[in-house]
Amino acid sequence: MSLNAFEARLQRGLVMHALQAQWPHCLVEMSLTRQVQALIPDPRDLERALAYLQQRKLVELVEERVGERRIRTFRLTSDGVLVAEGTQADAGVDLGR
Amino acid sequence: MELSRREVWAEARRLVVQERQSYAVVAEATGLPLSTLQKRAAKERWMDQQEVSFGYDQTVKSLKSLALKRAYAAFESAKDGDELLKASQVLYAWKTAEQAFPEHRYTQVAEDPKARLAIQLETLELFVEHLTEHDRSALAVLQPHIVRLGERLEAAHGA
Repeated sequence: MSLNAFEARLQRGLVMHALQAQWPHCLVEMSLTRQVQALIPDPRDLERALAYLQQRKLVELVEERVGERRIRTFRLTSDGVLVAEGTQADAGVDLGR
Repeated sequence: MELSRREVWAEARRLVVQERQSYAVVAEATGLPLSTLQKRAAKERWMDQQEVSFGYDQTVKSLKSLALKRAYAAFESAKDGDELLKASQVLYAWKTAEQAFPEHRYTQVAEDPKARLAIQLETLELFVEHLTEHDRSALAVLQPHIVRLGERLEAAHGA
């Protein structure tokens, strides 16, 4: 089933809400996935949402290798905070307001 | 038309959480006693929900609505048993989202002790797994501390 643009914008908004609740702290990928998985069940959709938000510099990714594993954490950037608060708009993100 | 008690409280919460009105203003607007309002708001942590709820409720509602429409569409277009089975799975996915994501309880979900414990324990397991593979001498040194940490995590969350 294809994901339309409207739903993609809402999914990005949901991710930003999850990160905003933690800001200024970051959120481990495992936690983020669990928080949103009921509404973003396809992990590829979550990956696409995060890729968009990173490209727009609204979210930053910190990746650390621990042995064979990668630990990924995400955090809103300062621009991401402005978008999440509603001070700034991003055409690709729907925050439900 | 007079609101029921439940509706009055729902409106009081909406005014505090979404419109960020003061308790005094909300008490006057709803007719609720100020001290009762303050006590319930403190107990349910309305002030903590202000920032998180701004737009979040609507985002979650919209996504769940889309999931339900997808389920309807799957049933309407199903032509055989296999497609009906897939449609029922899509409906089940919507039901899971409804139950797992009650938007008014977001902060409770985010702070759910059991969810936090599961993640903390999984992180600890990953750490032990890594040491087992790459540095057993370090694991031997850390083992008593790791065991104690695991026990404390479980005790702290009442497991």
